[in-house]
Amino acid sequence: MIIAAGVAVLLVVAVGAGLTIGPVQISLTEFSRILAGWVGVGAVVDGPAASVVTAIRLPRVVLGLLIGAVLGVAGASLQGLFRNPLADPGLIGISAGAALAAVAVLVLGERFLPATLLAHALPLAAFAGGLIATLLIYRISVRDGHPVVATMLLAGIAVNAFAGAATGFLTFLATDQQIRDLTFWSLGSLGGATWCKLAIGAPMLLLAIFVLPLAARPLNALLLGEAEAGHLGFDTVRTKFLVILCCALGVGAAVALAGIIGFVGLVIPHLVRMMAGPDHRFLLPVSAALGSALLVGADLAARCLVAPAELPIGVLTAAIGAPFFLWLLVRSRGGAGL
Amino acid sequence: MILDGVSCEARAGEVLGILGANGAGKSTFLRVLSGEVPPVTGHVNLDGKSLADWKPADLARRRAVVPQESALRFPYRVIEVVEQGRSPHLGRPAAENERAVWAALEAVGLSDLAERDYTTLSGGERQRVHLARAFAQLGEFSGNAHGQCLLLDEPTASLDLRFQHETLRLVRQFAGVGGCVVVVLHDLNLCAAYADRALILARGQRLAAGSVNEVMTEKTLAAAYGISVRTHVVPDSRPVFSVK
Repeated sequence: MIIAAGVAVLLVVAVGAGLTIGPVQISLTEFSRILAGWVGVGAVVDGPAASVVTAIRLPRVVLGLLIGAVLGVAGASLQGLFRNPLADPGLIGISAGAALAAVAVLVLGERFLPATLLAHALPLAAFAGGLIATLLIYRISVRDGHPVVATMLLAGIAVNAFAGAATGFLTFLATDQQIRDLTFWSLGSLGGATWCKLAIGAPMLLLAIFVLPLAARPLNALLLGEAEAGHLGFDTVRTKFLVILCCALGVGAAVALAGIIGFVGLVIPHLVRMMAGPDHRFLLPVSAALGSALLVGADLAARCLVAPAELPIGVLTAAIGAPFFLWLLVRSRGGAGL
Repeated sequence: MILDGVSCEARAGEVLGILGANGAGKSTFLRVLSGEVPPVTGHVNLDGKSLADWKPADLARRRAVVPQESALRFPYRVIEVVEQGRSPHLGRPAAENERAVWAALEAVGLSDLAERDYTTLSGGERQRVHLARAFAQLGEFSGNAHGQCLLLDEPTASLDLRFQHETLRLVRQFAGVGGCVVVVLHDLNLCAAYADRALILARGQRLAAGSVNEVMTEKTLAAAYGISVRTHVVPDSRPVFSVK
């Protein structure tokens, strides 16, 4: 209860800071006046501050909330499904698969698709790429119903390497303008947030955020083992199908909108588990909320640390997440967990 | 083909022991009985109704399985693991579910460890947690276990002498109130001491089935394990086995 309240406070603080802090400082009262005017309950406020809020910061914070939530909840669900605390959409290649498909659409799409379809084809392609990567990893790493951890991580390395090579090849084909866009995919950024892009991606993100927590009980049982979950009366095939589909959908959309943002899906569920144990009924929604808070906060840091320039957010999350991952490995060495 | 033409009957109020050498198909047979692996030909019936026709949740309220070794690697508290046994009973009042969980913990002697981290337990303690989970799944551990089946795959493998007997005594007690038990065992003496009937498998086929005294003969056991076994018949008691 205290933990949930703490995460809620963190989330509110991150959103408040994300909306008001930046190159254009906006006070909370000014912000609320602008917001009230924008949604139509007060006098409409005009001026540069108003457009910064409504056209830049608000969509950016909303995107950060959605993507942070998706990465947190997808990481936690995948870890439950694989029965392994190291499963992460980035580590096992889902993000790379999604990014490869998105890059393919970006580079090759202009030749084959009309511009109006391109915006919609991107998230769909990213979803398909993420799905293929997820299914591949699952098929390779699960033997006789038991996921083999080493195989999962090694297969993830292979998928990441292959996606990297294919993305490299596409870069070779790309024009200079496209190459600039491509760096965006590999490093991750919330900078491209617009209401229009959000409208396309948000349904997929929201679906993953709200459907995955429904699998909490079967995921709890799955931690005991696949056969055990079946003996308890759960439909394990349906659960696996649901989790894989939702993760691919959510992570695919996240990659399409903001590129590869690594380690959020690994670090966040770990922190929640350390505080409150592995019960997915708590873990999934709280991981979503903490992921939101972390990503909005990280985006704020990415905007402010080297202002007026901007750090790619994926650089920040990896800089924090990779040492955390190493610490996990060292700490659990010799333990039964990995 | 792993199993071929194995038929047997497990009855209410009885413990059926399954014996056989490594690779004889004991665990596979248990997986078929539990419904985890559907038989290619033939059928498994519970109450005269094929397992395939049971709704998973209804089946889960009637049949629990204690695995040989659990894959659980996450730091659940002991009570959280046992609570999972109540998954098929989520419609019941919370107080009833809680009672069942504590009764099960009590029965296996783990009440004091209820808040402990599962991953810090010894192998034997973990085994008892899963036994408690199975009891919680089947209902309150008292009174009447008619119509309920408990399947165990080598439940004594990682237990010391005392807990081997305590575990099988609990299993026996469960059969005593009408439950039906099928248990895979390696130890001939434990099987002889706690089972009513035995099924002996060899190379995926039924070597013998019947009451412990009929089935566990020197000849059959030698055929099953490929090693000479001596039976010591103790008057008014169960037979004892040793290796020649």
